[in-house]
Amino acid sequence: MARSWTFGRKVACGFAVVVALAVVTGVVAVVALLGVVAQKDRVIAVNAANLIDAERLHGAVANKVSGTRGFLLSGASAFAEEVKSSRKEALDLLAALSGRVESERSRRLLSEVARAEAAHQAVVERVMSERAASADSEAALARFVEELTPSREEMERCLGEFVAHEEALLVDGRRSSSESASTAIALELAVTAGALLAAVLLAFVITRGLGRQIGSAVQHVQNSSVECQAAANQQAAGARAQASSMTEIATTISELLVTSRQIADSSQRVAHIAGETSGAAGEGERMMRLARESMGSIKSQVDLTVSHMLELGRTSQQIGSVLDLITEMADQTNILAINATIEAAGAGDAGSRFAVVADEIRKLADRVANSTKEVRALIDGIRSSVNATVMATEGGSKAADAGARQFGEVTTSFNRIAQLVGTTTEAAREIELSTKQQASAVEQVNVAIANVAQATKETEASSTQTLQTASQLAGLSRELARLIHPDVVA
Amino acid sequence: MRDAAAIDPDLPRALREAFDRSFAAPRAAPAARGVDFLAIRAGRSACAVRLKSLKSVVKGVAVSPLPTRREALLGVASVGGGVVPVYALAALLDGGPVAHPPSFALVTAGACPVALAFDSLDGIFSVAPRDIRPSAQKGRAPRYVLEVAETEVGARPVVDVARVEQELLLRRGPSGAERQE
Repeated sequence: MARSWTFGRKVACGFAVVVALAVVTGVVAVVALLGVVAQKDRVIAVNAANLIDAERLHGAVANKVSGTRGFLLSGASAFAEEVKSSRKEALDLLAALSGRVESERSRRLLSEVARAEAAHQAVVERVMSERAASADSEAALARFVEELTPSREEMERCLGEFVAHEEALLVDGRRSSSESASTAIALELAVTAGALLAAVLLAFVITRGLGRQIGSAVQHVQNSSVECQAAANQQAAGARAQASSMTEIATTISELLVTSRQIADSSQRVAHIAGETSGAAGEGERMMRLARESMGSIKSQVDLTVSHMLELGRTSQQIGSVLDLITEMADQTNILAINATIEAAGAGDAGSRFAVVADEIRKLADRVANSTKEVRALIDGIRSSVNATVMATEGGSKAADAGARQFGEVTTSFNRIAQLVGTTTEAAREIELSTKQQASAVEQVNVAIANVAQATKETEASSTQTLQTASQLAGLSRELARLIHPDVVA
Repeated sequence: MRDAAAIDPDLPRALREAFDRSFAAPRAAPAARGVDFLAIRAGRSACAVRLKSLKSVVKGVAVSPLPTRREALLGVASVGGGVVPVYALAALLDGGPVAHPPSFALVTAGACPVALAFDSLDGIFSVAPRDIRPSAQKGRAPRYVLEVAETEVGARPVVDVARVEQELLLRRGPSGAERQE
């Protein structure tokens, strides 16, 4: 639980303990002083008073003796009165001493003094009565010397013993008082030393505990300040990097803004061009429709040409068939002419003239055959040309068909292109609008980026301030650590 | 293919003139005529036969095939009211098989006429007797070729049709039945 105490509580507790020790020390000192004072008072009030009263008693006795002597010498009543008052003073002192003495020996010695005084008083009264009865002073003096001196000496001896005893008691009381004072001083010194030791221990413990805790806290503060310094460093570096990035971003955003405006302008132009393209596509579609119609007409003409050429081919084929027949007839005529020649040759001279005719017939047949070959070649050429023309025309017809189909496809594509161009126009307009909105948004972003850049610069400044504060805190923590552990902190 | 555009436009007129000129030209005198030959082609061979050795020439003769192992014998045909055996002249000359049926046939003028089928008819030509010489490639030329007729376009072997007829007659016998060799 003590670990959770605050420094104030610990210091207050230490002070409380120190104060308590001081109070105990003071109480002990007061008690000891009171004891010493009481003992001194008792010594002064009892032993010293007894001794004083004893001395006064001795004086009263001396006064009584001197009064007695005077009375004996003069017989004057003044002396008698002096003796009487001295006797009364002595008795009062004895009574006071009797009421004050404490020891048995003092009472016994005091009773001996009282007995000696009574004996002395008896002698005094008898001598004085004798002096009052007689006028002889010499005799009285002699009697005084003879009778009073022994009792006086006895009484002085008893009083001396009492005084000695009282003096001894006084010395004992003073010594006892001195011993009590010494004991009190020693006790006070011991208590003071114990309190001092306890205070030192407590101070050591508190200092050590506080030093440890404060040192740990200071170490933590130092570490935290170092970390805070590093974090502030990083934050400052990050803020600077962020500021730099923000500057670059602002530049990029500005370029983006310019680009967005260019894109918006381009989109506007694209939309305009797309509109013109849409018109051109519509015109192209119309032209393609006309071209397709022309292609259909061409195809019809080509089909008609193909039909005529096929008819020409069939006619040529018929001519060829007739020509085959003519060729066959020419061949047969040739064969007949040959046979006629053979027959003429077999007839000898009689057939010579017939042979001539047969030869003419054969030559004619040859010419017919040759002419037929020529005609056949021509017919074949015509048929080949017709076939080639038919093939080419059919190819043209197919090409016309393909062209018509392709024109149809092209027309469809033009329709599609026109639709797409329309869609493109709409898209371009939407792009233009979106780009304008984007440019506006980019402007807003640019403003926001500028604000962020300003905030970043402020953050950088704040980070720098934080860094300075962290550095100061680190210095303070080092100073505090040095104050706590001067040998540890360099 | 002959291009129609390449036809000579004067060709009809030229043909007409040639036709008219043939009738206007004088006829050759019979005495000036030499030996007449029929120029034919049989297989790979271009040859000639004397007209005097022939009875007739037919084209497109219908040959009825006969069951025989002789490759040269194509069958029999009706020519001039009689049935004659038809032989492939190319097979007789070269000894090889007949690739396709010949278009023409000549009928020999012997006692036992036979028809010798050939592929094409080139025409009739006449040469002087001095232009007829014996074949210089005896032993290498076919055995029926004994003479060569020199023409303006070159020499043409002359097939001795009478010898062919005679050997075919000897081969098939007087009864006309073909002997198996």
